Amino acid sequence: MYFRMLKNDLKHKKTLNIILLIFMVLAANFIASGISTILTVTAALDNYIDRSELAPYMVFANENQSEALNKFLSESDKVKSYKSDDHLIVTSDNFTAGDKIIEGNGILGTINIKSQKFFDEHDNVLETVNDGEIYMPNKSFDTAGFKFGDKVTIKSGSTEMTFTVKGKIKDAFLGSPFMGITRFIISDKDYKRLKNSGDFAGMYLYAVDTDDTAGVNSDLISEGIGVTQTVTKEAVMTTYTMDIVTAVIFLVVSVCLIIISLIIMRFTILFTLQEEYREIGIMKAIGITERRIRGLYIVKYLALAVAGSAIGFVMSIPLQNIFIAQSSPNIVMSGVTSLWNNVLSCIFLVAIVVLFCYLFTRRVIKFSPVDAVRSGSTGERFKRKGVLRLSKSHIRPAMFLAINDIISGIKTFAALILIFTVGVLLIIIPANTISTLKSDHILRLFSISESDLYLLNDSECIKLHRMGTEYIENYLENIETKLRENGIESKGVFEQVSSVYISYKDKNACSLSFKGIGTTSDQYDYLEGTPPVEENELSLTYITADAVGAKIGDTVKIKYNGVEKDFIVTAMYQSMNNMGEGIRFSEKANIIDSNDGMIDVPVQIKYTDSPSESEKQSRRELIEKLYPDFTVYSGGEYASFMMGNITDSLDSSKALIVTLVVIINMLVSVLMVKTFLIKERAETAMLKSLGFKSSDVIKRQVLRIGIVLLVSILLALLVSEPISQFTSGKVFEFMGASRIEFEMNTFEIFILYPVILFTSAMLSSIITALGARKITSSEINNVD
Amino acid sequence: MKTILSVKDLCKTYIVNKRQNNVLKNVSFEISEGEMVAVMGPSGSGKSTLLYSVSGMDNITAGTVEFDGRDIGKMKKRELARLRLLDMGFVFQQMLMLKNLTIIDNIILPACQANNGRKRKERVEAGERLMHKLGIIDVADNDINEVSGGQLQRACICRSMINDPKMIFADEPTGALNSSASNEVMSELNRINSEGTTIMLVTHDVKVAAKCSRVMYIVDGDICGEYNLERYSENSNLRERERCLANWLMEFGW
Repeated sequence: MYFRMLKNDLKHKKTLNIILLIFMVLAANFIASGISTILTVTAALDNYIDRSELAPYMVFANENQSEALNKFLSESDKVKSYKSDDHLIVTSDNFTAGDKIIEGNGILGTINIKSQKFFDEHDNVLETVNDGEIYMPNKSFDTAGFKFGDKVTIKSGSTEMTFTVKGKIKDAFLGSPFMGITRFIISDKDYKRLKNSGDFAGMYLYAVDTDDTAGVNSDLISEGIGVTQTVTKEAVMTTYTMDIVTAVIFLVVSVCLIIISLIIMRFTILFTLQEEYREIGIMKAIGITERRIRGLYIVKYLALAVAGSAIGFVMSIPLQNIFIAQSSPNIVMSGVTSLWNNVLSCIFLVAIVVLFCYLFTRRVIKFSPVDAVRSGSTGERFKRKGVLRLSKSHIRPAMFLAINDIISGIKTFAALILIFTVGVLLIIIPANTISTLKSDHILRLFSISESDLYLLNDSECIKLHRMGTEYIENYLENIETKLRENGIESKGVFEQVSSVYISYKDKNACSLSFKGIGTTSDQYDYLEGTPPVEENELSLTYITADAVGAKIGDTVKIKYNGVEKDFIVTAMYQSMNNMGEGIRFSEKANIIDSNDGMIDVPVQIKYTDSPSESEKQSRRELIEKLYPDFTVYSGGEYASFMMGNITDSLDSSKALIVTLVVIINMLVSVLMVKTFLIKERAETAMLKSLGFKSSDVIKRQVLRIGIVLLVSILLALLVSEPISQFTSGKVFEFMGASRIEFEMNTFEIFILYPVILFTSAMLSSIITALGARKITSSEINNVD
Repeated sequence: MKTILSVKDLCKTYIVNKRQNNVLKNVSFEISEGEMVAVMGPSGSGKSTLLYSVSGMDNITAGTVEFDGRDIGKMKKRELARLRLLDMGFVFQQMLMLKNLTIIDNIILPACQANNGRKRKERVEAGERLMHKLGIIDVADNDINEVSGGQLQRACICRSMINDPKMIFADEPTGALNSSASNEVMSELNRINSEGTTIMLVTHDVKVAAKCSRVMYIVDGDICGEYNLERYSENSNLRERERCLANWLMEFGW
């Protein structure tokens, strides 16, 4: 009997069932591929880090710092063992590869380094590198557009060597696009030749085996041993978070799809129950139990869920492979993929559908045999649902009826509003996140003040850091003079960055510190307090302040180059540098003079005469000609450069989500209009008999969807800020920015997407509502 | 009297499961202005189909139907809708109204749709006037669930009258009512008819048909007889009319 009823139902409610099936397929597809990708990549990452034999604690130190560090590590009882490997520092200026540009800072290492293992692109351990060959991670290979066999020349001073690009390496420590430093691997013999030339500065990388990384770090700071940077294994793993960002986005989408599917399921179940009250009443009258009656509906949705999950499962496999392919260039994936996650996700979806179906069919209990006999009327009187009065309204009937229907059936339409709002939010949130990431203001979160142009040349910037404050001031003055001679009034700005130790009471930490030259500390954003002005004042990020337990007004100790000074904390700010750590000194502070770090910050140019946009463009072209060795960026471009391919992958996800939401909205519109047409067949026939034209009935149907969609868009715009904070704001928080103001692309958010969504939903509603033409006024006698 | 509805050789055929079903076969008749005509006949004889076909609610297969001099078979759907809105009124056995509107709002809905220059206040006043006349003014602001069947049908009559139609078509208007409500509704229809509105109604009830001026009897899609009740004066005993009509109907096996 179940099978026969199921077959009947599927035949008579074809459109509704197909739409519900599509939702279940999409939900199963995304949940299976999303969960599976996250679990696969997370497991693969653990496996990759283990197989790379990455140490729990790593320290970068320059040649001057290595002696003291060796002594500390060998004497510390918290250190089980340590290994050190020497590397050579290279910048983009050292590389020549035809028209290809290797961006950012890097280090050259040999294949025989002791601290970790490398893997080739096929996930095999890289054992040998022949002389004359070079391997590089995917982030440099792809960005520069290399092909295997391309030639790369490394040159410094009088030393010059040409290498053949042999392959890509997977470097667990420095391979993530989020790691600022890139490692290139060459043979032992080539490495020694370059090292012995003396034209390259050296850098030591220590891999420390310990069970107490915090203890070793604390001891290192309290001993005052200067190092360039320290990194824990956990911090390395967090740099791969972005490798699963697309999968996470689609997992969120799948959760939304499940919610939408459940809302639609509730709607169709209630609609079916209302339609079939007679059958239910008669079944009860002849003694069929409620459980068996509910079973009829549960079997139908179970069948739909099983079919949807099965198709979704099959579709999830290629989608999952696409997600995993995004991570596989950076992570060793082999040996950990499993389809069981997909199967379990689909079973979970089926279970959710059946559970909710059971809950939604509770109404069966309410229908009695009397309903069947009395045409659904038990004699009960209901309160009026309508609020608006046609007799007091000036609106045309079609519009009035549409508005009145929404207000009267607010429960049904609230579900529709919820579906549309979720869809619009799915577009707005990534769109706002991308706008924020691409905006010029994002640079403020990287402790960089807003300027008109950012000029980057790795070797020049490192040189500026090494030469110290006075040299930088002269350098900036020369730039200003040169630009003035070319008709550009401007101010040069540079951020001095260094790693310093901070301690307060018994707590201490190592943090990046910043001091602006050519700017003042009040030109940065602070969330609390007042900008540091005096020589002995500083501001802290919340992460650094929490690390040492300091608050505004406290006096902290700063150790740098063996000197210790007291500073008063005057303000708190947020930063996305180094997962949120940071200290900003006043421009008067005499703390950072010069350092041997590898931090590449740009030279900034601020126009002082407020030029027009077209003037800015021509000035940029002129500056590019005047400084051909520098790459010139706008604020947004420089932010994109710093954040690697996150915005690109978010951009492609956004396009996919917009398409998906448009399809969802169209399907939901079709489903709703179709259901209303069936449900309101009698009303439609009656309206036509009164002289309403088909176009008036179509207008009523379409206007309802239109009004609901407009309300949903407005609602989504209203709640987008708090929801963005709650969702993508958490990603910013994870990176160190706890209070982010989301940027909004006004054209996209207020015009483009609403127009796309509105037009597509209206189009599908109109096409579906054309079905009203088939309902004739004479049907009034054939309907219940 | 001027003819308001003229039907000539009307045929209506349905195709059900590839089988042709001739519901109306060459039906011809005329209704003059001010008449109140009842259509009677056994179930499935084509009474309602005839009503819907001559009122433009359903397409006709062959023949001509002229309403107020206009051939409705040649009219476009839009024109037919306009005709139903302004010149025709409909009352059905099922007292269908929009459930989210009050009684008065349901009544003035066709007036709002007509958009014929009447102001909002005038429309509401017209609705209230009709309700007052039919004795349901007290339930104007009630929901449709809050009134009795008789009141609801009277509200349906008000709705059919709101645009001052030339003719009212009623399909078993008392079919779902008890006898007292049925009498109330028929009294109102009689009153409307006496004020000049032509009425054509379908009924199974001899008591209802006896209140009309003429009765047509339809069997198997063909009008097989007409009985004129105009010969009875207005003051004649209703029972007498019913008895005579029943006798006539018995000739057809009623």
